Amino acid sequence: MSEAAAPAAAAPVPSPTLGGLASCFLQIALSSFGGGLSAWTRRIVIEERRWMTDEQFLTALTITRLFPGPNQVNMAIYVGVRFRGLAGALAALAGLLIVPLTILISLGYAYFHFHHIPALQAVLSGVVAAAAGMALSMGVKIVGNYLWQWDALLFGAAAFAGVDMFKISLPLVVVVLTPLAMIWFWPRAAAPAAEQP
Amino acid sequence: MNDELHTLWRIAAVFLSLSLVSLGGGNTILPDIHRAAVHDNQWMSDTQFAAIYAIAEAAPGPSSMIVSLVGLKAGGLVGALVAVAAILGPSSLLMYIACRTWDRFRDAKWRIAFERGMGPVSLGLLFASGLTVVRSSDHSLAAYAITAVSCALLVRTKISPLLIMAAAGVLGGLGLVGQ
Repeated sequence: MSEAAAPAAAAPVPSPTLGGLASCFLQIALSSFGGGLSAWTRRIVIEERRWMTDEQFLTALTITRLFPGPNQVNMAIYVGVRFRGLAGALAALAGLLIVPLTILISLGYAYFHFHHIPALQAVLSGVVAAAAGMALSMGVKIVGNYLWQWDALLFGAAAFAGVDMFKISLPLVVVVLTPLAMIWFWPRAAAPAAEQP
Repeated sequence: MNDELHTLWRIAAVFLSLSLVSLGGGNTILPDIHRAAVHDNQWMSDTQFAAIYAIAEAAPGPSSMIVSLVGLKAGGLVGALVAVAAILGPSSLLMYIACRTWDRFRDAKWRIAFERGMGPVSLGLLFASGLTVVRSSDHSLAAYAITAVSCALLVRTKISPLLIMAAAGVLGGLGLVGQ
């Protein structure tokens, strides 16, 4: 792990082609049957293809989570743009979406065609209950990061109450709460190093 | 014909309006998708919504692709494609612009404030999404128990969600969940 070893480890990997981008994100989509897309993206983009370093990936992950849209879709755009511009983004998106969408829409057709069959309904009654647990688990996992941070929890509670209890539409909740949260969490320049942009 | 076009327009309008507020990876918009699909437009029943949520979670690809199944029920295959294009279009365009400009704002205070402020707001929205699905899915004590156990397993262990859903499907098939 010495400094001298770093340049040798960073052997130049040829920049990916459009086909490479598409096949990479297809591989990610198919590996992630049932979740864990971020972990798979990391493994495939960094460990297998070695297109980015860990640090570059973390930056990418932050941006893709911060902006609206599915994280994996945003990640495909980020990686595609980085290497091949707009065409790269489209290639990565095609790889990520076409096969999974085909599978999903086929499943949807099957469901809407057969959903009145009692046996299927019985099985699904269990499956949907487990999926509901999955939907809950996303918030439960994250709330641990904010324990005892009363201001953060208050903003979370306000967002929750707005959508769930008062049935306010999501765009309105986001447009009102985001600026308030930004003002509240605005970095205060306590240090003299007040950089003026 | 006019009716079909009107439906496609409704699908596009619903999902275009949600694209730029689909924070937290897109899972935060479930309450509004539910309201649009079940109540406002009556494209499907509550039970069907719970089912397509489970199907979208089990299938590969991003979970917000649930919109394709709402579009499919409302407007057929074209409806599905319109829904996907509408939900991804604006946010993808914004992401594309962000990729090209974000690094310039590395030290900007508004960027830091944005990064700190979005987390808590998304958190609350995620809980609202979770509850929306629970209310659509669970209609018996056994169902609530399965939800609680699967939530705990997903938070505490690395068991594959597919395995958990399959096990719950077996319980349902045995008639242990009730409708």
